[in-house]
Amino acid sequence: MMKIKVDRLAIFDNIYIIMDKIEFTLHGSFYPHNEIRNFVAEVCKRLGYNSKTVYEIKTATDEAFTNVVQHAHKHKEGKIKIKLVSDPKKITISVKDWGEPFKATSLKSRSPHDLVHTKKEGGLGVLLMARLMDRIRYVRRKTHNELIMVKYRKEKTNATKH
Amino acid sequence: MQQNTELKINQLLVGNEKKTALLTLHGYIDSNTSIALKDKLLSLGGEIHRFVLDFSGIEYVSSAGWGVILARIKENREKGGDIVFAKMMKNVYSIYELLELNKVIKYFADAEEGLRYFGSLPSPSVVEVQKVKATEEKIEEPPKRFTIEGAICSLVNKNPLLNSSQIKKILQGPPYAFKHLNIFKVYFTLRRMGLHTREKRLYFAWQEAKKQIKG
Repeated sequence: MMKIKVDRLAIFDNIYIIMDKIEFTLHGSFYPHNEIRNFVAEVCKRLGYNSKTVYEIKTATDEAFTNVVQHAHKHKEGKIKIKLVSDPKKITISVKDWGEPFKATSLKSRSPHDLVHTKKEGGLGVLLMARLMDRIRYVRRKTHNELIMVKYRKEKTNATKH
Repeated sequence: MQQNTELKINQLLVGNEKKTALLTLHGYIDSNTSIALKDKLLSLGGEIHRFVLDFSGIEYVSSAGWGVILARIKENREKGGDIVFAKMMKNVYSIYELLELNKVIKYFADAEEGLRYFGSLPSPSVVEVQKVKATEEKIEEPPKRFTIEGAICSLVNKNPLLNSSQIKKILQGPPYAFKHLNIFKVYFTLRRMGLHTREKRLYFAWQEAKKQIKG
């Protein structure tokens, strides 16, 4: 069952800070990719990002989430936490999991030509995240993995004031 | 496993000996729903090696979706076929370009152009010639006794671009005079004859034109 907790929404003049924690406990092989994408897209829309940037952020988040499901949790039950933090200049998305550590090198980035010639399906996700987001950092702490992605705001904010 | 109901795939086999598959996709292709697309490509892959994927109804494609398609391309090309894309939404197209898939997979503005690339549709010039011929020829007087199927064959052969409403109007009027014909009768007759879409009527007329040229 998916639980969404909205902890706090704070507004300081023109600075919008959203602290949303989405906690998923995965059951079996049910992964709510579409719900996560739509939620992230909705948050970014309200923060005033244009539709192209919203699409890019939701795609990168989906790719990060999919990597956790496939590599850290190996499609088994596990806990994943997604956090979005926004300021006037950028949005930071963190995808944290308590699954198995994985080496960054084990996530190979393949080009489309590689996939055609090798007839393999995987590997485009890392390439896609790298091209969509402005900064990406992977951190392995004692008990968990965290992938942090940053997208800088290029347009003036049209964010909805609450 | 959750059923992949978020991706709908409509399949149409066209062309010579039905060797080209037009797959019209609706929904999204991610790590869950890409399995359905992979299964469809694999299930058809024994007989069919030419695929036109119509993305007009697709709002999102993840790397899993692109990967499933890329992995099937070489195999189809080795057998003389290919996989091409048609009509993407703006955001999906932007990812297609960002990943430089435009250097690997051809893209067409719509499905008809993709089918023409495989030679599975008559070219516009053939259709134009048939249209001009249809307007120039006088309506022949039909024999006194004929069937609806025969009349439809004759009309479709002369002008395959007529839709079912237009066919009904012509059949109701002189000289055919099927006064009690309704649109459902016309549609189901067309369907029974395998002429219920514009593509099928175009293909039928093209086949008839080929026979006349050879004969």
